Amino acid sequence: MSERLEVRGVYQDFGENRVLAGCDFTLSPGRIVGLLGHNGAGKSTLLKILSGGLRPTGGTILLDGQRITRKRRPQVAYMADHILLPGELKVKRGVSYYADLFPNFDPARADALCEELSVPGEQRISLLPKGMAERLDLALLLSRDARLYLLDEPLGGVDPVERARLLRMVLDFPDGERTILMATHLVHDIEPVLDDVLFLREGKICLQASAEEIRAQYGQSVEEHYMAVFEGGGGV
Amino acid sequence: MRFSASAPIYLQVMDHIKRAIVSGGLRPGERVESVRALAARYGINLNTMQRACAELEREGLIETRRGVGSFVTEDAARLAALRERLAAELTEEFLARMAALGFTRAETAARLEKEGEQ
Repeated sequence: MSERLEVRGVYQDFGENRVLAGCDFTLSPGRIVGLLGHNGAGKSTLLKILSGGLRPTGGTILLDGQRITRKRRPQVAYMADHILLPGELKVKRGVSYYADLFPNFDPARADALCEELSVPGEQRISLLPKGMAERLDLALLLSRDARLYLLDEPLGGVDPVERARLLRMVLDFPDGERTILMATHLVHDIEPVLDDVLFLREGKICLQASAEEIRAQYGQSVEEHYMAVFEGGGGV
Repeated sequence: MRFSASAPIYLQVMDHIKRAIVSGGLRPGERVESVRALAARYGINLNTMQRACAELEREGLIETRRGVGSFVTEDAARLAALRERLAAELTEEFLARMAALGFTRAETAARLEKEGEQ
């Protein structure tokens, strides 16, 4: 199977500080992948680079076998860990703002997702509670017709059980073709949602595996395995 | 449904469905929900649910008729074998746990017999 995303030797320096130290991994079409790592491991930096918003110091990134040129950029949809819409807009106006901003944006899908996520359309964005603003952001992201979706700590302000339920609901694309990469450090409740996981430590991918493989091979949940790998405790 | 950490989720879901078949929650010939609906019900990834369904189909417990849907098998021999296998697994597990507590098979059997009389 041809790979959706291929990342080879990507590294990133900020001055003296090496944030990413040579990342290598591939993502297949139709997979939901968790990018796990401690705060400061470089998760957000990696996503920013993959989104095209930050040029890496070095390395290669291929989407469906080709470099991500400006023209192919819309094939990658990125959601930062904070909402980017102007707060004075109402939700409904925010949706049409996105429609103007992004090609491949489907306003009907945005309306449907907002309804599914119970986002009030007439509310002003700046007045939305944090968790609700995050839901709106997620709905807007997933209304873009892209090949690869990058989510930085999605719904981080929503309580964990509800968060898992909402993610399960909306990440379910009918065509089974789209790849989703989401960075998070709260893995417990979203485990059943994930196909694969990437562990990022000290700027490198130290493990890439399917979540089911981890459970089968180590008899541990992804969370337990994460702790075993990162804290060095609970080893098998 | 809560998943245990130690086994692949697709196996746990398969097990849950098998138990439903044996206990009558899903009857022979009954239509099984779509993979998508099941994934939503169990709160799991679509690929994981797909795998569980594919395995159940491979084991002959679910039959898919193209364009119609999936159904619990009506093959009585197969259903009896499933019931037998689940019972054997449970017995095995029970005996192993009793053995771990220091009961011999004979002691365990005697205990069960006494329970049966009550």
